[in-house]
Amino acid sequence: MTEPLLAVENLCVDFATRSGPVRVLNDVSFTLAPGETLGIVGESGCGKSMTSLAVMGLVPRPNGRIASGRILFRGEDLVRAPARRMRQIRGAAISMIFQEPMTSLNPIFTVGRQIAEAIRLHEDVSKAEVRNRVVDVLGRVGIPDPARRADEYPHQLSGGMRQRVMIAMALVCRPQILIADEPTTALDVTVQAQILDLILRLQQEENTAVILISHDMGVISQVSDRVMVMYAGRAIEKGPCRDVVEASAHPYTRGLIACIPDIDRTERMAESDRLPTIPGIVPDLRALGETCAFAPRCALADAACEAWKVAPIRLDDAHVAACRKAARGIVA
Amino acid sequence: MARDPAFHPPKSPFVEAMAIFLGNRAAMAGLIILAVVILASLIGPSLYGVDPKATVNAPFLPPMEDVASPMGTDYIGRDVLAGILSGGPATIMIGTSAALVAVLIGITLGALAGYYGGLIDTILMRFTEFFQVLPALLFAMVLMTLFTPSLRVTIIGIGLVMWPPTARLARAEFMKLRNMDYVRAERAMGARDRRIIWRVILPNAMPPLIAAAALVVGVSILFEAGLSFLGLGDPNIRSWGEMIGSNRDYIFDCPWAVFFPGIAIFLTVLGVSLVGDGLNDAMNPRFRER
Repeated sequence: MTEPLLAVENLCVDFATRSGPVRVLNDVSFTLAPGETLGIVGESGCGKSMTSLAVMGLVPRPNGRIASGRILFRGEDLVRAPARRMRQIRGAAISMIFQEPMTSLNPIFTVGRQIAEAIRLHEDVSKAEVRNRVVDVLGRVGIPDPARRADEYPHQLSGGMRQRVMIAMALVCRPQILIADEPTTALDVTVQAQILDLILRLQQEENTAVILISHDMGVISQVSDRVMVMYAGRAIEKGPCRDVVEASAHPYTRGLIACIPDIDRTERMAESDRLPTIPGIVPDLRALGETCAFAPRCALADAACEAWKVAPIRLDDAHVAACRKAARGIVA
Repeated sequence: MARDPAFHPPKSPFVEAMAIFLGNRAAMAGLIILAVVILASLIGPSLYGVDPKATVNAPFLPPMEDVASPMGTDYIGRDVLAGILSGGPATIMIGTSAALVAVLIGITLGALAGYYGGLIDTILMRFTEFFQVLPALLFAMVLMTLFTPSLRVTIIGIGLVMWPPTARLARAEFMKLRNMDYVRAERAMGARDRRIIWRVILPNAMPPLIAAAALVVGVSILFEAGLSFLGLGDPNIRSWGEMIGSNRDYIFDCPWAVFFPGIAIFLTVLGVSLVGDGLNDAMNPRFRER
């Protein structure tokens, strides 16, 4: 395998709270190759967004900090990179799209001006050239009549349009990595599909690597090359999309997949009449130790699970799961 | 098809705020008062043509006794109307400049405190509170007596005692706005703090700050009058406060020499306050009914 574009190694992020430090990311590792799509799934608070913020160097200060680990972008460790260098990388080499297109645009400037600023922050180009690129990128993200739309304010655009503008802003400097943090969650289902298609099309045109973050296993399984499932700050299963979705090794992953509504699985629906859910709630991160955080909610857990020190277990070349039972083939 | 006035395309926030402002009767009254005051100050002196500093008539001349001095004369025979007309620009200039100084200091410190938070916020806010607990007039008087009273000293002195409320307002706005998604997005684009503070957050924080600044102008005018009354203003400038101050010993002999400048101050501050309140209502979304 060639050298990955991005390699996150044993990343740990701590947050200081009144009741002591809380580890919100625990020993997270993954790699990303050029042009690849990595899907990160998990429930709220499992560390998906924190992972992306850590890569961007935007872990909230002063109460959050990267406790250990490395984030290697083309061999350069971003954890140790000075603030100046991080600003050069942000928006130019690694860009990010946020969840809320309604509030992620500055309400008092035209969208064209905001995209122009994104260019000017990183490149020294003439005014006319900037304008050309703004109109061009708006056209590429599928905004009709881009020259006119560039002079409109965010409140004059619909949610889907605004998300297109956000994508245009993120892509205008041709980044090598695009982090999309729940890019479609706030949108209508029909618009969701359009936005996902758009991201994938632009990805192919530029060979951009994409990290797609979602709580929706359905979205992730449709578009990802590889998938990482997170739970309570840990990556509990990762591997090629097919393996993780069709041969899930971790009981939590199986639970997530069972939660996807599926018209084809009518027999299963008939059995219970209800969509399956995972019982219990996400554990309190302060109370976690080195043992399996999912054990209290896991239908398969036994006494040995409670004592088992969590470690990734390699199922084959690329497929890894952090479940004791996965190792023995009990789950599979 | 019936015309429904409530059925119209969305207006820009600015147009909407303007519409609210223009529909506010009190604010309109304030605007008219201010327009009259400013117009009188601009063209009044040349139209009336009487030297406000010279003795032009008999002292203690009551109003309407001599058509040459419709508002009478003061204790050394200076024309009161001439003083009011020429005192307008000085009063308004000192009031707005002092407010500008106060707002600049307030926004700068408040922005830094609110944006960075933590230790910087603590230090800047303790500093602000130090200024806030000083009795404002007393502090201004100390400043004025320490330095030779001049226009510049008056402006800076008033500005120095007026900034804490603006700083606190700016801090609150910045604390609220620094966590907005578009600020995060800007940071993710690689913008530096300086840009985020002044070019991204500040424009969004302006509406309440503009409204507050208008009110600071009114209070600054009062402050200038107070200082001049106490004889701490620049003696070479005939402001309304100075007119009251220089005639205060003769208040029973020529009350008109004190009364008319007082009315002028009252009307101007009233006008500024009404406009400031109107701006506040128009620009503060909390007061908008939707």
